[in-house]
Amino acid sequence: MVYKFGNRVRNAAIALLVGASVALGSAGTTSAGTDIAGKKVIFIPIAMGISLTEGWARRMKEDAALHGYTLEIRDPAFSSSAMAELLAKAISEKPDVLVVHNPTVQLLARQIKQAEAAGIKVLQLNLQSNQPSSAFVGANWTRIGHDVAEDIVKECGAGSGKSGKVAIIPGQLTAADSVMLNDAAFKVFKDHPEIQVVSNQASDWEPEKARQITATVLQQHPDLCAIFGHWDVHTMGAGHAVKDAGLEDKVLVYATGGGDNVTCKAVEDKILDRVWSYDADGQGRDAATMIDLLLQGASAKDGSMLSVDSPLKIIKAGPTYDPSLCWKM
Amino acid sequence: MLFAPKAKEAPGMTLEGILGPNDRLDQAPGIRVDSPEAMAVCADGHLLFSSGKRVHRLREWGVEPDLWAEFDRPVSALSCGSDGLVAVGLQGGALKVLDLAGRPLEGWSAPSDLVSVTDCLFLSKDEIAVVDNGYRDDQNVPSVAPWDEVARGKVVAIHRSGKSRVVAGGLHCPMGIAPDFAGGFLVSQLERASIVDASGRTLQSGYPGYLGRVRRTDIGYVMACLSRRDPLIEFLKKEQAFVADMKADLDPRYWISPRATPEFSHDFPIELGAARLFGDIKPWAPSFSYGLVIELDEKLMPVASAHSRANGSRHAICDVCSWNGDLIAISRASGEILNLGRGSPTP
Amino acid sequence: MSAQIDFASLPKQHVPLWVVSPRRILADILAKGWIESTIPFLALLCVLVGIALTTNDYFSPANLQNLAQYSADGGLVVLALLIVVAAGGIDLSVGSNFAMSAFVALYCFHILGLPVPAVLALTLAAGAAVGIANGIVAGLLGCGALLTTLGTMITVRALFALAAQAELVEISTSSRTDDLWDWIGFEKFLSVPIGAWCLITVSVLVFVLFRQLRFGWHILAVGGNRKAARHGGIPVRTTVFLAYLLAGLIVGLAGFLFAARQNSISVADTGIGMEFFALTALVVGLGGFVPGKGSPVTALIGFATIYLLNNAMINAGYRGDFVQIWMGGIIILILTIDVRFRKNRHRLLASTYLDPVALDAGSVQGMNGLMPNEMEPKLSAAEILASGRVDGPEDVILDAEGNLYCGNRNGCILKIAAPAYTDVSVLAKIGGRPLGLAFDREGRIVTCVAGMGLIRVTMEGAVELLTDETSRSLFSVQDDTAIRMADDLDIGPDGTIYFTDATKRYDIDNWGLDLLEGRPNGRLLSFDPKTRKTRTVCDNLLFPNGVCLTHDGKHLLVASTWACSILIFDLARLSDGPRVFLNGLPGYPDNINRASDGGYWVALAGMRNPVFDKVLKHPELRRRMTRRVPPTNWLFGNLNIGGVLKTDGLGKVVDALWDAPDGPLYMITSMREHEGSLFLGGVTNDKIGRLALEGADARWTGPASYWGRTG
Repeated sequence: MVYKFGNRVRNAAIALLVGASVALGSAGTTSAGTDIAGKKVIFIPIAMGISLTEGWARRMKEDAALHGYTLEIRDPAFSSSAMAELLAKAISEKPDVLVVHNPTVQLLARQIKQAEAAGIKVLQLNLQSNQPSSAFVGANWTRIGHDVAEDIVKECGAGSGKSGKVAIIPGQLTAADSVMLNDAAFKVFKDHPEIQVVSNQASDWEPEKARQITATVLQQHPDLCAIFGHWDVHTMGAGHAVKDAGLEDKVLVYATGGGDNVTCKAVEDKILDRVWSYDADGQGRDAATMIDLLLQGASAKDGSMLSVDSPLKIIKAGPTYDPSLCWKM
Repeated sequence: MLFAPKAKEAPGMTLEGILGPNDRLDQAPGIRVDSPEAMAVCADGHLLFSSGKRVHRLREWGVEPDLWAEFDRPVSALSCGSDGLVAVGLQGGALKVLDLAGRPLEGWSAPSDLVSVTDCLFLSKDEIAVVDNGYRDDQNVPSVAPWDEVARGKVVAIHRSGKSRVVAGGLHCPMGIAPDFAGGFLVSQLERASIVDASGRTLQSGYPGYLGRVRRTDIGYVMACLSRRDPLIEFLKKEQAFVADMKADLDPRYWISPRATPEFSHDFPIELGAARLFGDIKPWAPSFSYGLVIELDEKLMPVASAHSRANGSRHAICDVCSWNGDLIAISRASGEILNLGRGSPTP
Repeated sequence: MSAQIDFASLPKQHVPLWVVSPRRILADILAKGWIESTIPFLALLCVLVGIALTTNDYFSPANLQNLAQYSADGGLVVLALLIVVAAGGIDLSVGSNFAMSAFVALYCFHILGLPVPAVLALTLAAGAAVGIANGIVAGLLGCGALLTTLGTMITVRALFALAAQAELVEISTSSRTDDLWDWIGFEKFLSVPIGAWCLITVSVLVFVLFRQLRFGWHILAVGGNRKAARHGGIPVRTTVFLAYLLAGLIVGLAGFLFAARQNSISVADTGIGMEFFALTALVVGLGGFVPGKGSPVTALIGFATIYLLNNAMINAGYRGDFVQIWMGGIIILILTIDVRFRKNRHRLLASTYLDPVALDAGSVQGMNGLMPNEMEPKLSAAEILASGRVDGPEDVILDAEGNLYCGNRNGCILKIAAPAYTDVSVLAKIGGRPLGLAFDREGRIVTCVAGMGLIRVTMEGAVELLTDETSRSLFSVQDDTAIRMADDLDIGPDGTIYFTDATKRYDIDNWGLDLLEGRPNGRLLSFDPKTRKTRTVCDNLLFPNGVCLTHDGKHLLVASTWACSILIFDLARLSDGPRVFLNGLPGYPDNINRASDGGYWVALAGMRNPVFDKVLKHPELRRRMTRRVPPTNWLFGNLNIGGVLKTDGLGKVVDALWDAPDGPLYMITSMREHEGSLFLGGVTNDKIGRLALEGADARWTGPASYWGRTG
C-alpha cells in the first residue's frame, strides 16, 4: 500500500514535470508511447471570439502543447465564403488533421470529401456536414431535439392548461444542429397536435435578430408557451424580448449551448429557463482526445465515422438549479 | 515625410500694401544735375547737393541753384551740423569741414585708413561720425557687395582735434547714417537690406530694397533704395560655386547685380519676365534697377513708399531728405534731384 | 555668283545618337498616364513581398490555384462596379444581386434540376434583371444612383432572405451532382481554375470595352462630364442604363460561379458587405472614387491588394475582427500615400522635368569691329511697317510681286499688300502658332506651325496639313512621334521640304526652358510631298531653328540656336550628318535667309553675354534656379536686343545690323531681302521693319532666287 502510494506519487510527479516542461515550451517532449509530435492540425471554426469556440480552442491548445503537435486556428469571422477558402488553403497545406465546425450541412461537404480523399483526417466538431468524414465529436442533436420537445409537450401540451404555442428560433436553417433539432422536435410534436409551432425563423446566430423575431411573435401570440432557441447565445436575445414583454414567468425559454458561466448567469437572470448544455469545455477535451487518436492513426474499422457523443447537462431554473453545471473560461 | 513642404526662412517684405507699386518717383518734378550723389539740409534752411566735384546750394525749390563750393575730387557725402558746420566727404576717403559760406575750417582731418566716406553725421559740434563702407570709390559697390561676405564697413567718429575712434565696426556695406530718437544713431546696410544700431544689432531687416542713405524726418525716417531686392540675386547668393566662378573669370561689370540704370546692354542678361512684348517694357517686369524711397515710422516700419518701376527711368535713389516739408530724392540713374512733395503716409 | 562650298573640309559637328539621362527617364515615366497607379501597384508589391517574407509556401502553386478559384467572383464584382462608377454612378446592390444570383443558380440546379447551361442563362438573366431595375430608375428615370441602388440593395436582399428561408433546407439536402457543375466549381483548365478563366476573360473584355469600343468611350465621357457628354450627342441615359445592365450581368456571372463552387449559400452572410469590399478595392486601385476612369487593371490591382492582405492575415491565424482593424488601417495608409502622390505627381514631374546639362557655345568669333558697342545701330534707320497690326511675325516672306506674308500669334497667315504695306488682310486661319514660311515651286506657302506641324496654304487661303508626325526615335520613353515645335523650313530643288522640330520636350510657350536645359532636344525632318513621307534627317540637335537652302541648291544651312552656330548638311549625303558652317556667333541665331550677293542673312533673336554663358556651364544651378526662383526672374540671354548678321557665301560674318538698345526692332527672328530692301520680323514684336540696303541688287527676289520666277 505504501509502495503503491509511493508509486502513484512518483508518477504524478513525473506527469507534473512533463507538463511543466511542455508549458515552458521545451520542444520535442512528448508523453510516453505516442509519436505525434510535430504533426500539424488546423482548426477552422465558424468564428472565434465566442465562448464555444474559445472553449474548444483552449483545450485543444493545451493538448497540442502537451503532445507537441501544432495547432493552427484560422478565423473566418462568420463569413462562410471566407471559411470555404480557408479550408481550401488548409487542404493545400496537407495537415494531418483538419478540425472543422460546419456552419451548414452543405457548405464544406465537397471540401471535406476532397480532404479525406487527399488523406487528411477531418474531425467535424459539434456541427456535422452532409459529408461523413473520419470523426465527429459533438452533441447528439437528435436526442436533444427529442428531449426538449418532450419537455415542451410536458409543459405546454395537453393538460398543462397552456396554449401549446411554440416558437422555434434556429441559428441557420441549414445548419446541422437546426436540421436535426427540428427534425427530432417535429417528430415529437407530430404526435401532439395541441402543440402549435407558430414561428420557425432563423436568427443567423445573432441575439439581436432573435430578439426582434421574438418580439414580433409575442405581439402576435401573447399566449406563447415556449420558445425553443437552438443556441443559447442568440436565444438570450429572445429571452430578453420575453423579459421586456414582462412574460418571463409565462413563457418558457429553451436553449442548447456550450454551457459556460454566461449561460448560468442567464438562467439566474430568468432570461433562459432550461438549457441543454453539451458542455463545450468537455467537448474541447473530447476533441483533443480524438485528435490524439486520429494522429495516432485511429479509424473506424468499416471506414465509418468515429463518433463521440457529448454528455449532456440540463441547466434548469428553479429549486434544482446548480451553478456548478457551468464551466468557466 | 513624403513631399513634406520645405522649411522656409522668414519672408522679407514684398512690394505690396504700403510698399505697393506707384509711379510717384516718375511723376515727381525734377532738376537735372550732372552726377548727383549726396545732399543735406543746412542750418540756414538751404539745401546743399553735390554734382560731381561741386556742391550747389538750392535756396528754394524752383529757384536756380548756385555754386556753393568746389573740390578737387568728386563729393561722396554731405552733412550739415546744427551750428552751421558742413561736412563734405570726398572720394578716396577724405573729409572737409566748411562753414555755411563755404569756407574750409582748419583742424578737421580724416584718418588715413578710411577707404571711403559714404555718409557722415555730426554727433556734436566737435565730432563727426563718418561711414566707411569699405569699398574703393572706383569699385561699383552695388555689383560687388552682394558677392562679398566680408564685413568691411565701419563708422568712425572724428574729433575736431583730428583724433578719431571707431564707434561701430563689422558692418556689411553700410551706406547711410541717421540720428535715432534715443540720442544715438542707426546705420543702413546696402546688401543686407537692414538697419542696425551702433553695436551692430539689427533693428529691422527684410526691406524689399538694397538700401542707400537713411535720414531722420519729423515722423520717423526716410530711406533711399539703390534697387529693389531681386529673387534671382538672393538665390544666387547661395550658389557659391557659381559665384566663385563668376568672380574669378568675369569683370565686375558683367556680374549679376543690382544696377543703376535701366538700359539694356547686349553684354548683360535679362530676367526672363523682362522680355519686351510689342517693344514695351512692362512696368511689372523684373529689372535689375529700380527706384524706391521708403518712409518709415519711429519703429522703422514702412508707412509710405515712392516707386519708379521697370519702365521708369528714375532708378537708383541714393539719397533722400525732408526739406521744408517736401521729400527730396536723388536719382543716380536719371541724374536728377526729385521733389516728391509732401511725403508721409498717404491718407 | 555663289561661292563653292567645300563641304568635306568643314569641321564635323558631333551629334549624339541618343540622349541618356536618368532624370529624363524619370520625368518621362512620371509623365506617363499609367504612373497614376504607381502607389496601388507598389502597395500590392509590398503586400506580396510582406506575405512572401512572413509565410511559408503561400505562393505555392496549390495555394495560388486556391486564390484564383476563390477570388474570381469578388474580382468580377469589382469589375461590375468599375463599369458603373466609370459611368458616374454607384451600385450598392452588387452584394444583394450577387446573393440573389447565387440563390437562383442553386434553385435552378437543385430544385428545378435544370441542365447547367440553362442554370447559367437563368442566373445571368436574374443578375441582369437587377441591373435593368437599377438602370431604369437611375439611368432612364434619372434618379440618384446612391438612392436607387440602396433601394434595390435592400429589396433584393429581402427577396433573397425570403426565398432562401423557404428553399434553403431543401437545397442543402439535395443530392444532385453534375459533372459540368462540379467542373465549373472545382476544376481547372490548363492549371487555372474555371472561375479565374472567367475573370480573365471578363477583364480583357472590359479592357477592350474602355479602350476600343464606342460604348466604353461613351461610358467614360458620361462619367467624366455628364453635361459635356450630352452636348457631345451621347445618349447619356441609355449609356447609364446599359452600364447598369452590364454590371448586373457580370454580377450574375459572379453569383453563378460562387454557387457552383460553394454549392451552398447562407442567408446570414452571402454577399453581405460585398459592395463595400468592392468599393474599397476600387478606391484603393483608382486612388479615390473617380468617375470617368475605366482601368480594369488598376481596379484589379486594388482588389488583389486588399484580397491578398485579408486572406494572408486570416490564414496567418489572426482573429477575424483583428484582421478587420488592420485592414482598415492599412487601406487608410495606402490611400493617404496615394492621394499625396497623385496630388504631388505633377509637382514632382515639374521639378524633375527640366534636365539641364552644361552647355558651352565657345567664345564669340569673327566679330571684331562688328559688335554693338563698336558700331552704329543700323536698324534704327529702318522704316516701320504695319505697326500694331501684326502680332508676332516670327517669319516674313515676300512673293514675286513684293506682297509680304507673315504668321501671327492668333494662328493666321497675314498678307500685307505691296507697295504701300498698309493693307493687312488675313490670308488663312490655321490655328497653332505659324512660324517659318517658304514658297514652294507652285507659289504656295508652306509654313511650320508650332503645336501642329507642317501646313501648306494656297494663295486662295486653302489650308492643308502636310504632316504632324515622324517616326519614333529609338530608346525614347516618351512617344516623340508628334512634331511638337515645327520652327522653320526650306524647300529643296526636288520639292522635298526640310524643316526643324526645334524641341521635342517643350511647347512654344516654354521654349525658353529648352535653353535652360541646354540639351539637344530638336531634330531636322524632311517631308516628301510626292510620297507624303516624313523622315527624321538628323535627331538630337541643339534647338535647330532657321533652315536655308544654299545658293547652289546642294546644301542646307540649319541654325543651332543655343550652340550659337550654323550647321550645314549636304543634301546628297544627308546621312553623313552636319558640319559646322559658322560658329561663335555673338547671339542666338534664328532664321537664315539668302542675300542677293550670294551670302546669307542671319537673324539674332537675342544676345549672349559673359555671365549667362557662365550660367550655361552650371547645369545644377539652372535646375535649382527653375525650382526656387519665380519663372519671371529666371536669368536668360538678352532677348531685348538683337540684330542681323550678314555672312558671305562661305560663312564669314561681313556685316552686322544692330538695333538700338531701346529700338523699336528687337529680338529679330527673321529677315528677307527683296528688291534692295531687308524686311525684318520679330516673334514678340508687333511691327515689321524695312531697311534699305545700300549696294544690294534692286531686282533680286526670293522666289526668283529659288524657283527662277521673276514675277
